[in-house]
Amino acid sequence: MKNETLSTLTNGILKENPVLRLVLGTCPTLAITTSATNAIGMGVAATLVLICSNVVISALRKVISDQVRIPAYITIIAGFVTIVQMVVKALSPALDAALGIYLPLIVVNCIILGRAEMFASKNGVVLSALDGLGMGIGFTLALLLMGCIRELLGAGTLFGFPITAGLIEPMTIMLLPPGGFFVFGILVALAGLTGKRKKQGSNTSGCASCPAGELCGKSEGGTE
Amino acid sequence: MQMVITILISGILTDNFVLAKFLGICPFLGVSKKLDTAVGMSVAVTFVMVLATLVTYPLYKYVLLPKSLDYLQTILFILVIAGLVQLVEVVLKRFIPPLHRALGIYLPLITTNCAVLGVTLLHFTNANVSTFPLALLNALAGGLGFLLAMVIFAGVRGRLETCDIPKALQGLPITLIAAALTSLSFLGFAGLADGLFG
Amino acid sequence: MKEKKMAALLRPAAVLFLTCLLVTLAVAGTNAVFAERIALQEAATLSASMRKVLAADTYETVHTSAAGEPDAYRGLDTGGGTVGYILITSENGYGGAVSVMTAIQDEKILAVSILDVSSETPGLGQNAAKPDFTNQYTGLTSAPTVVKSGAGTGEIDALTGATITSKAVTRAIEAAFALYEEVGN
Repeated sequence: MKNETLSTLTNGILKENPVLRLVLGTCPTLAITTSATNAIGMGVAATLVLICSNVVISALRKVISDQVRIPAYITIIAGFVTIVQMVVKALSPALDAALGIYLPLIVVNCIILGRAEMFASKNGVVLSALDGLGMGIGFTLALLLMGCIRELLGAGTLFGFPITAGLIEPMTIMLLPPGGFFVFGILVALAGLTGKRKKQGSNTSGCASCPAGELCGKSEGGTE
Repeated sequence: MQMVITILISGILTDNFVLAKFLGICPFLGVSKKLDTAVGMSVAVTFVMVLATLVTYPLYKYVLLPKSLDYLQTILFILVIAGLVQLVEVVLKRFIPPLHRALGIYLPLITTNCAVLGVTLLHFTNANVSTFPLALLNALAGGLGFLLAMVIFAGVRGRLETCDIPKALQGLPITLIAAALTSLSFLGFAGLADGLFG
Repeated sequence: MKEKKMAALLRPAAVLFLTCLLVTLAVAGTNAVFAERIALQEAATLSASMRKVLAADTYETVHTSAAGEPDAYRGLDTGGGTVGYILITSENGYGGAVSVMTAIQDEKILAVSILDVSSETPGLGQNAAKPDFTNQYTGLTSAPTVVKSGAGTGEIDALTGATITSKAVTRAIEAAFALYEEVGN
């Protein structure tokens, strides 16, 4: 039993890291990682929503019937996102401004809906909370990694403290969209090297973990 | 008229939803492999974007804001979008079966597409979008930008198929690096709207 | 047969409705708890910015925007005399709206403070908030022209690699002058 809880927790951090292995939640990963502080802010906010929604959905899993499960999950997740939005606005308006629309966009973050569908709807409350925590930590760590790289290369600072800023001209392109795509691509390649890829097929885009994944695959495969 | 052109240019080129704003990345990476699926998905997305704006914009401006209920924005918007998508699917299936066969499979995916929720939220932080018709135009421009990005990227990925790619980069990494270069090319449009009107 | 179908549909619908209801109540409750604090935060940030651009004893609202937000204030000293006007305007920059606060007195800009530049590129456009950039506007009597470098009278230097943001701030200041003409008489 203890092994199960520990593995549930660490699963989301390494083996099934939502960003670098399952490739979910790509939108905030690319958008928010222009600075390490923003990355942590987004990660923590998303983790909070993930844990809360996992817990509630798991608690209600026997009550919510299959036909209405997606709208019900979306409602619950949207509720928690709104609550977290208010908390962030009250505690740190600066973070709220930095995250912009990506804070409410946590609602459609595939990670949260995906975990609700794959884990919380089938497991107990404690395990679901741990899964949420693990996935959230994995998400935050991946965001932090990207944020540090992009901030250091793009602005010469880390968490706002100048490191190479005065010495070398920073590569501002790293803070712009192309830099985001590029760093993400390299990180996914590295993550793939350090372990088996989830699927050795042509479609390693992790859509499989998304609740709408089969449809994605169908639309790809149907016209092959 | 100037505002119309500014919104069109910024929505399609300079503030391209996928390549500049990072919205709709999942379908961008997942569905852009073949040209016809890319086009099908983009048309469905554009349609839902405009429809969603049609319902959410007046709801927010004339119902939520006046009653200080704007904190319900996120919940309401996403539920409206989810509902609309279901409705559209049912209506298409019943009345225009061929269209449903062509677009229908992409519709459920669109609910979780950040681009759709994103566009409905962005109308209110965009200084250029001051009226309802301009918001609809903005949604249309966003959708067209999505289409443009998808079509271009489908072409790029088609060429990638015939290339010799190192093993570590095969699959998603090279796709992302290709996206980086495509996005880089779009950076060239920055300042276009500004430059046109001085 | 029809009854059974109805009953089968009714239960999930009821569950969904209840879920929506509970979520809305939870959110409304949280809002009740936090709303005041958020409003106080926003008011504190705004008055801090106002004090930075125009030192005055009290500030009275003299104009509200179409959206219902106050966008022009008159600063008064202890004797009730006008110290200057504060105008809040915003224009689209690189990634979204840039919000600028301008203090004008006797047709001249006293100070400029950038309220919101979070939509611009960090390291480039976001440098608009730095005094190196905003101080260029002090003392001007009308919106300047933005040049790449070597600004003369009536011109300001754009931020390196952020001409769009620089132009947006300048357009916002132009709008501030227009608003000043409207309220300052």
